[in-house]
Amino acid sequence: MTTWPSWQPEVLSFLPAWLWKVICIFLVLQMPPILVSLLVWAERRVSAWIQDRVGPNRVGPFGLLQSVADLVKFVFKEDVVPGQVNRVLYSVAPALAMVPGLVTFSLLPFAERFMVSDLDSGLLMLFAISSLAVYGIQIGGWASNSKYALIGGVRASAQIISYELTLGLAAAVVVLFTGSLNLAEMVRWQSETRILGLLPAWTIFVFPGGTVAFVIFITSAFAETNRLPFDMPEAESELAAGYHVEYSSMKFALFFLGEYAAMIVMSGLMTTLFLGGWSLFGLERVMEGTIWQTLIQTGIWWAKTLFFLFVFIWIRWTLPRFRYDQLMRLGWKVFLPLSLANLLVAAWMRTWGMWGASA
Amino acid sequence: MPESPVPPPDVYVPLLLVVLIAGGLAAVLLSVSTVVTKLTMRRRLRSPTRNTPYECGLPILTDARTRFSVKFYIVAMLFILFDIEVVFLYPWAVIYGRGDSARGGLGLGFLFLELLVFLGILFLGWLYVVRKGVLEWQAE
Amino acid sequence: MDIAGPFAPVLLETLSACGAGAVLLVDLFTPEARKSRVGAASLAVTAILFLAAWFGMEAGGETATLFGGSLVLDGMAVFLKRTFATAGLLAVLAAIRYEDRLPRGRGEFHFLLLSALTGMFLVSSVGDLMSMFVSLELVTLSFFILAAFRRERPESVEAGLKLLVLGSLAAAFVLFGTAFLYGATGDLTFAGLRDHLASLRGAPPSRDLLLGLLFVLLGLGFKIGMVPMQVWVPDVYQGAPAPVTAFLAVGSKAAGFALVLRLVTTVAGPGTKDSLQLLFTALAFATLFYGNLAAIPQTNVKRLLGYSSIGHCGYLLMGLAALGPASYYDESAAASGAAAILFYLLAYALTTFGAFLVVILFSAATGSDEMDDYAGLSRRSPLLAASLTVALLSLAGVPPLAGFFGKFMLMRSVALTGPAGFGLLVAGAVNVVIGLYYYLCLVKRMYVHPPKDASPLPVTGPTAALLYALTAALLILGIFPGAFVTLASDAARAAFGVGG
Repeated sequence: MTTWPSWQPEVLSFLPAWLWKVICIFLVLQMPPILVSLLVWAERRVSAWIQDRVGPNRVGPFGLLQSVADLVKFVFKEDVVPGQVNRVLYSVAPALAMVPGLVTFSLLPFAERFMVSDLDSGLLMLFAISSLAVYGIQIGGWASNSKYALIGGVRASAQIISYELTLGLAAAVVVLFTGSLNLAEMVRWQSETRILGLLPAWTIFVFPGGTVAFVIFITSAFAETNRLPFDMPEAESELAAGYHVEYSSMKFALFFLGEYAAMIVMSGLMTTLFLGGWSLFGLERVMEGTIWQTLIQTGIWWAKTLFFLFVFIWIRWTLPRFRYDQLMRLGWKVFLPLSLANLLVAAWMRTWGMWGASA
Repeated sequence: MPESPVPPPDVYVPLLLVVLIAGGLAAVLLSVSTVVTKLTMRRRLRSPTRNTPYECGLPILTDARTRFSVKFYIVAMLFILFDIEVVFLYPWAVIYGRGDSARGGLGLGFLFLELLVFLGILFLGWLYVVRKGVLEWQAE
Repeated sequence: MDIAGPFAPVLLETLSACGAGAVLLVDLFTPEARKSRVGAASLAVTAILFLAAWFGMEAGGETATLFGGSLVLDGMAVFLKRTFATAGLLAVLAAIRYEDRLPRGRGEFHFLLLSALTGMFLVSSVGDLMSMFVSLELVTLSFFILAAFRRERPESVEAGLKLLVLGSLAAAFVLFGTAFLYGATGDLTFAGLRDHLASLRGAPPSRDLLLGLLFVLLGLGFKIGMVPMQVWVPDVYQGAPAPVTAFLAVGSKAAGFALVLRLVTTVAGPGTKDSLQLLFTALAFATLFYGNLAAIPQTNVKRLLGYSSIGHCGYLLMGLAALGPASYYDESAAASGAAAILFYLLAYALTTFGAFLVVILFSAATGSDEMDDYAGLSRRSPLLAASLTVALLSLAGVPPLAGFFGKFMLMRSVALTGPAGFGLLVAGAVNVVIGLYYYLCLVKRMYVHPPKDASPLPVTGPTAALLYALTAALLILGIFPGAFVTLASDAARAAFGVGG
């Protein structure tokens, strides 16, 4: 019998392991709804701030309860099902778009002893599950039997699969550095290795292989989540709303939830793969083994992730939208060869010198 | 972390649990609005226009089940080809990343050579696609 | 001479894969007006392969393995690789004379020819069932596209689709049988299969193993055009572009027989010989009579050659039937059967290309493949008529041509099995007569009938030289077969484990 880490803070070791897992699941499943509602509020406040407006400020302090009001509205809106749709697929699609977003949360390593499932194939599993969301989008667009929805769905899936390649190739650089597909293991490697004897070897610092991979990854993440500057699938000026134009009420809310959850997961993945996850210059080792350590690590992880979420919003309100052919050209003609070359550079660095970080 | 050939089952069970919970949540949420609509609307509004697809108020001329650009299909095929090759890179990257600890290996130099060959083939395929103008979305 | 050292098992494969990539690159960076460069590049690649196969590999060397036994290089593999390299060179030479008629995609045409060739090289030295499937599919997939290459002609598309649908079925058969074999033996390598059978000590093998073997053989039977998997042959031969047909006739048949030989040399043992011999005797009977009888009423040359190729599959199966019953089993007879198959494949490759080259040139000039249009060819172009006649006579097995000696070796190996082979010998002889009849019908049209259109068909310098060379090769192989027979029998003896 091998001893796997208990994934349980020592203070709580009186709890049976299964109970701790249940607590983890409970806590982790709280995150997406809360965060999404916060994020929607933040998006509107930040956009207002960037455009020198006020933004929602009536419901609750600073308009914080705006999302709750939105939710209530979603529930009580009429659930319109247009006559031309394929009813079964039309109803299944929103669920298909949302479930992967929720499930991928359980693979993220928030802290050393706070994660739902610590898979050895974590990264692969995460990619596998998150790419299922494209089915929801494509099926939703097709089942709506509406031209805007169809074009939006087709565009979205073409875009998502195009950038999945570069996303995967950029992540392969991290795999190659750490020699593992286990996300927690990746974070451990990043926090324990030093480059130039000083800096923690967060992948983003491992110049040039890791840095270029990060740039490729963050750009691909924007395309994956259909966010500006790559939001052609929804381009409201040409497609009204893209693949969910025929959806209303809670069905629309599920698409919305899935999209934002995917955004959070992408940010979390960037934190984990490139920014050292829960580690922060030794702070993650303070009060080793206590519940506080777990809290600190989770805090560090979320701080980094929230920063990326802010970048998502920030860029949305700063950059104009690409044209579709530009998007495809960027993905296939620039990023694909670039990420292949970068992989080669990274592989070279791994063996023949990584600023003294060869673990 | 100690290595084990087989992870304990409790690594996968929570994941399965989350999948079930998320699926159940989706089902509940989907039915909530349907039920609420049924309960609150005494008389459902029905009219021909209400049942048509949304096209910004213009009259609908054709069905949405029409042809669209073949480029999308080609992109899908290219994705399958290239994505499979990316997936093949992952096991390689894991073995390469473990470095000297890889047992019975042929040495990192050989592994690097393998990557060169693999990427060479991939690059040739990419070059073919580009030169054939498959990725030119402007042509039409 | 051995120029590749430990990497000899993948020398030709690597060269041809790189060559295929290079041809594709040349095509990508060549403007439309100078596309003939692509053919030149492809010719250069196959010429190098030809030289490397005949002069860069040790025929009688030690058996070398690579990749954990996935690839094996023994005498048989070397002989087959030489056959394939020759066929590849001839296919590209034929394709260059054909490619002006391709509306587009010359680069892809040559690339696919080379990728099929790569697959054939791999096929000749596979050492386990998985690499067998993969390399076989490389050959077949390339041919799917090649057969449908002239997509403006319905016949060509039909040929490609038929090949695709039936080929997928055959591939499924092979995989299904592979699964059974793996289940029965727990090993995917041929060596493991041999060890498993040896461990039975003469007891009959399990039903799963026999079933798996049967499925794999049926799947491979598709590639060689064996009854009952022969239905695709005439349509595909007629519809596919002529160089592709020639390469398919030679390549698919030789690749299939390479694998059948590997499998049979692996599994032939005291416990299996009786059933194997019975099976192959029956198959040879059916295939011989089906192919040769159905060829008689044909009016299209390519179709005629298609049916005749089924007949030739029957002759080749005679070599496998030479295993002999267990009571009479003689390893040297079995080895001589394998040697005869190897020699016959080489002779068949040269002969088929000799015939198809004339068909290509004729249809390029007249746009027809109908036998009636060949009337009076001897007066319009004596060289074309003479070359085709020699090739047809070689196919029929008239001495002193290559085909005769191949048939002679096959018959001899059957005769060595004793009285059990008597029926098959008679059948073979009857079929030679039938074959002679329909081949001579075409010869008669060329020499006796008056031409409908008396305009001469000129044959230019290099093409004429190629025709002369092929005819000469057929004569040499028929008159001085000694060196090649020695090579083939050494290879076969090594495969059956019979000493020098």
